Amino acid sequence: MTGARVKRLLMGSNGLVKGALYVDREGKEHEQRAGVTILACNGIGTPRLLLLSAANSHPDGLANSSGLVGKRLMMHPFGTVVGLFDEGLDSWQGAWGQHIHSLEFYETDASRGFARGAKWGLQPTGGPLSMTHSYPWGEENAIWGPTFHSQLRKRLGRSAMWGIIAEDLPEESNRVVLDPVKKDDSGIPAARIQYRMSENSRLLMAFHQERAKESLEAAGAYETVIAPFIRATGWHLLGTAMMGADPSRSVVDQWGRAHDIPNLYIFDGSTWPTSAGMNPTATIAAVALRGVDHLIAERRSARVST
Amino acid sequence: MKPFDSKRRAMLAALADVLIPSGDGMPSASEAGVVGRWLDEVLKLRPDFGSPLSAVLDGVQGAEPAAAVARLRTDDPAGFGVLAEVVAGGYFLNPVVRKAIGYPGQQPVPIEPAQPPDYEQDGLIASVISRGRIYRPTPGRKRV
Repeated sequence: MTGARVKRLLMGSNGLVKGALYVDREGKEHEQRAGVTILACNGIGTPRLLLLSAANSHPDGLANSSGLVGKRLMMHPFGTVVGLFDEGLDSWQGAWGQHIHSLEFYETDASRGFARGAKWGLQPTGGPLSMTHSYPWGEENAIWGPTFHSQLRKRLGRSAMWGIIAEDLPEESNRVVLDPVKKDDSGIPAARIQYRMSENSRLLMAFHQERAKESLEAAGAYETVIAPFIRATGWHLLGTAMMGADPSRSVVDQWGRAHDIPNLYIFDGSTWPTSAGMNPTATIAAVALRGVDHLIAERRSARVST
Repeated sequence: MKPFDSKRRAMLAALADVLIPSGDGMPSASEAGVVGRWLDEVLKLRPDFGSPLSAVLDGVQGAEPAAAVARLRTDDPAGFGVLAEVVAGGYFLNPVVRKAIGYPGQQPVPIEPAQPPDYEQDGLIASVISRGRIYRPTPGRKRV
C-alpha cells in the first residue's frame, strides 16, 4: 500500500494494539486491523507515531510507561577534515562514502577527557563543481572572484578528506516531541527535534579533527581545512525507543517487542541503547531480522489481536 | 517556465563574471557561455533552479554587479547558492573549460579480482599488519 499515512495506532480493550488508523492521498481515513503491529518508521517517525497514539488510557503515548519514548535521540555529529596535496591524486574518481576506514582512535581513553570515539572514512573530494561548495571548503575559503582559477587548480584532483562519525552519547534532553503547531499536509502533527550537541561530542570531535589533520599532514598535505559542521546530520536517527531488559528503563525488550504491549514490535534504529560511531543500516537490518525470526518461532504462544 | 529574456541574461552575465572572472589563461563565465547555451543545459538538468534564479535576477536588476553579489551572499544565502550552482555548473559543462582544467570526468578503473589489492602490495598497510590486532574481542567470543 502506498500513499498511506498512519495517524495513530488503535488499542483494544484487552491491552493489545488492534491496528492503525491511516489517511489515504485523498484524505480519507481507513482502519487497518492487524494481529501483530510492527513499527519501522526510524528514530523520528516511530516515537512520533507512539506519541500521536496517546489516548485517555495512555495519555503519554503508547508503550511509554518508562517515559523514554522520544528521548535519547542520537544523530552522529559529523566532522570533516580536508587535505590539499601537491601531487595529482585524480581525486574526482571513485565512490562517495569512504574508500578506507580507520578505528584507530575509537576506544575510550580517559586521558582525552571524553568517552568513546569515532570512525574515520577517507574519501576523495569529487569533481569541479564540488570544489566550489561551502562544504567542505568553508565559507571563509569561498572560491568566488579573482582567486577562482587558482583555488580550483589547488583543490581539483589534489585533495582528500576524512569524514569523522562521532559516537553520540544518549542524552535524555535530546529528543523527539510532537510539534504543538506544525502539521504535515495530511493534518497530522509534525515531529519536533530538540537536540544540542553534547559536551562529550564537542570534545570528542575537536580531538578527532586535530588527529585527522595530523594524519593528512603526515601523508604530505601542505594545507588542511576543517570543514564546517553539517547542521542536519540526520542520516542516522537512533535511540528514541530504547531496547532493554528493565521495563521501567526501556521501551522494547531484546526482541524489539514493546514491554507495555505484547503484540507491538519496533524494528528500526530507534531501539538502539547506544549509537556506535558507525553507519547503522546493516545493523538495523540484522537486528530486525533477528526480531522477525523470534516473532515467527514464538508465534504459537504469541498474544495477537483478533 | 518563462524563458530567460535578454534582460535577465544580461544581469546573469554581469553577476557570473563577478563569480568567475577571466584570468590565469581561463575565460570568464560569460565568455565560456554560461548565460547562453550552458544556461539552457543547466536548466534542462535542474529545472528546479528556474524560478529561484529568476527571482534572484529580478531582485538585483539594475544593481552594480559586485555589490549585488556581496549583498546576496549575506542577505540571501539560498538565492546565492542557486546563482553560484548555475554559473559554476554551466562553466564546467563547457568541454573547453573541462579540458583546460584537466578534468576528464569519471573514468572506469577496472579492478582485477584475481590480483591482490594494491594496498597490500605497495606497503600502505604494512605498519598495521606488523603491529598486529589491537581490538577488544566481543564478550563471550574467542579472538579469531
